[in-house]
Amino acid sequence: MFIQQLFNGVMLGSTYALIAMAFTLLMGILNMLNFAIGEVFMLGAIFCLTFIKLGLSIYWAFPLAVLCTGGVNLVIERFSFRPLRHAPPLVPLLSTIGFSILLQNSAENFFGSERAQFPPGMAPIDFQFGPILVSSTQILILLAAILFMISLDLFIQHTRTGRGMRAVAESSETASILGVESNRIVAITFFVTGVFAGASGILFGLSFSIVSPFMGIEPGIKGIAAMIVGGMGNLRGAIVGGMFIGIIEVLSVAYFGAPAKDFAVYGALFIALVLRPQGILGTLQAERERI
Amino acid sequence: MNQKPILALTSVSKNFGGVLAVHDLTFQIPRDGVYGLIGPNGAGKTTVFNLITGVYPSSTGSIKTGCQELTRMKPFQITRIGVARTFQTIRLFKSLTTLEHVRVAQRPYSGEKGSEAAGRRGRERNFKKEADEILELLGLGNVRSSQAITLPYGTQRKVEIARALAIQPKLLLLDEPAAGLNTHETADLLKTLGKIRRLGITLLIIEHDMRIIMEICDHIFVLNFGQLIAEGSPDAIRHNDQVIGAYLGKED
Amino acid sequence: MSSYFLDLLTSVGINILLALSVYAPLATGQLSVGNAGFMAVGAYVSAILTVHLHWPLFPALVVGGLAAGIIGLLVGFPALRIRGIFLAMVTLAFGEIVRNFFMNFLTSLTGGAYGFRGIGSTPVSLTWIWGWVFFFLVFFFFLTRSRIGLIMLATHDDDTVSELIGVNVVILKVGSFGLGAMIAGIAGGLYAHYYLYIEPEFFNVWNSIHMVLFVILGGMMTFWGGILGAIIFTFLPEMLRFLHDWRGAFFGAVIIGLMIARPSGLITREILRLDFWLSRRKGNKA
Repeated sequence: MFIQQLFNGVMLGSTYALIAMAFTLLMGILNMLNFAIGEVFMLGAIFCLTFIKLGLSIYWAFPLAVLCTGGVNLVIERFSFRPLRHAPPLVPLLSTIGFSILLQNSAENFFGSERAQFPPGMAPIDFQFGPILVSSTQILILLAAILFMISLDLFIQHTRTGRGMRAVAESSETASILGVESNRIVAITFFVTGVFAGASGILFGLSFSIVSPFMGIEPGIKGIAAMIVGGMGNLRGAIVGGMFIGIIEVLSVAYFGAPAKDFAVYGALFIALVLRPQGILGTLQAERERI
Repeated sequence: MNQKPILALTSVSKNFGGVLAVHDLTFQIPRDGVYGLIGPNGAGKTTVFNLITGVYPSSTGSIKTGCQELTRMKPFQITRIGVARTFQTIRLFKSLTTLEHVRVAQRPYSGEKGSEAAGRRGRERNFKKEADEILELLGLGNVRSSQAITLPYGTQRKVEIARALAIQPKLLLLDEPAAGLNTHETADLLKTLGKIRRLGITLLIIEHDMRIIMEICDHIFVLNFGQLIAEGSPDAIRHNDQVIGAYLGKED
Repeated sequence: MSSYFLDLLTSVGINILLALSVYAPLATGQLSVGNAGFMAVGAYVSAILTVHLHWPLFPALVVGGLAAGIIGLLVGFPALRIRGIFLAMVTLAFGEIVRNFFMNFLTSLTGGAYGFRGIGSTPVSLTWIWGWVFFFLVFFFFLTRSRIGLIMLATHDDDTVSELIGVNVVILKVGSFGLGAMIAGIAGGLYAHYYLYIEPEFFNVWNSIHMVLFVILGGMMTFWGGILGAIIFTFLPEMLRFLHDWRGAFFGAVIIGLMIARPSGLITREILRLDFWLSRRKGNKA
């Protein structure tokens, strides 16, 4: 039973990890929190479902939807980041809160506020791996999540663009002196983050059979929580943090019932932040930098 | 009590996770006068200031002013007993005017010269008068209502000093007060330091500008790699081989 | 006066209090995105006192506020070591914990997720609400002009240096955190006793975020900013009725636009300072 719950926790955790990676990438490179990622997440599912309803198969709908969410994030970059580059960090954050409200309301109006589901054409088949019951959807999701995580990690570490991103993270000025085109890097960062968030939303919608304009609120907050708990600006930390939160959530529901869910997650976040503000994989800013 | 030195460091060390920034440092400053703290970059000078003012807890050793042990105190307590400082990079309050910088640092506790006897109303007037005096002393009278961070660099440095003076310190720590000043402003600074000395405030100055150090300091401490390598009068230091060796190859 | 207009004035009053509750800690540099939680504490505590223990209104409100304030002090201490986005997340988490608490505990007293009905024995009138608003307005007016106000501003700008000029930053920050919590608690008590019904779902994250928006859009450097923000954003949805379901989208767009055009908010310290400068003769300010 415990193993099953642990597995479920990992499943949930990987969606949180994906969102957390979206937050972290932006945070690490541009020191900016895009609060609207939760809504981009939601739009991924909504777009995908809409495309499916329009007749496309999921193999077309999925990539098309995530391309769209990447585009949405580019729009956010255009209005919340580029004009506010030199403002204190609170300002772009607020702007993305504005986007969050805008996107949610717009989705509500275009899509309707009822919960919907992905069509059951992708009926899951259950497998039994020892003590664990797993559905085919879940396997796909886990594989997709792992694939995304690994590819992003490799991308950042080994490609030229990835190195450019890391350079910009260190110092935008130095990066441009070295010939890195900051603007291009920023745009790519936003696009990739948008793709990730959208993909995560689709996987979430498939996994938990829910598509609604409000599905992004809690995962968004939990994604931020995962980013912080795992260690800010650290991609691997985001994965760890996401898993941590997913597992806590599932285990608390399994052993204490549904009402305990938020308690456990937010309680853990609260304690984690108070005890170890830099997160699991984060490093404390050196004492000597204070003055 | 008055026989005790105004600042006494004894075997002070500071460890930053393996890096020993300050190592077994011992020196004393008796009352009154202007003292210099010099040494190459990275010698640990600002760290010493941070240790004295409580920004860093010291790893070992004792730091005393008079009879009071500073290593147990929090920064605000250390300030309240009369130890004030300025910073290497100017750190003004971005929302405050020049006058407000002085007012905010004036506190209704007694500094060395606090007037506890005066009644409340009397104290209020006293503060205004003192603030005006400090601004006059530093020539900041005509920019009292300006937002301090909009002022020219040299003037901002003066505002920082004014803020420190408002605390009514007995010991004032200045961290590179001449950095970034032109010749005219530097001469002005020297005059100001003289005025502060005449007020009876003890000064400990970190500086790279040797003209200032040699000109105004009564006694100089030289730091290198977190240790005291020499101390003495300006003349003695000028001719000290170890000091020259420490600075060799570095620009003045 | 029509009931609709009464409700509107009530909302404005309560929102002003909530804006002030966010302003208090923000004035010392602490962003709290969890004040809906403190509002909930005040609402539930005062409601339990009037409904189950038959307390009169005023003491119940005060105790509700104090309860919220004390919890605020308790949260304020660990919050000292955390800054910026981390603090925002901690307070957000805290708000959610409170909401969950009232959803799952004390349900026999409060009805839990189904809501607390019938807080009707000691209802609150408009005068009550605006009495409290006026009280806190006066309070903040004098606080801002006092030495403490100046110290708060300095601490907001740079708390490390503030400590080095003798300010007991711990007391200042924790105190302002507790003050904000208390004000939110009183607003919660007033809310409960006006609408006569509360449920945990109401005291959610978005509520907290809205309070923060009042202050930041109105201008976070002075307490007037939050007041203006509260007034505008209470009336705005009403004035934009013609937009029907698109009000949210409009609100979002306004925020985005405002951050580009005037990120410091509507009321800044400079504006107020100019006014003072023009209307005074000799500089006997400060």
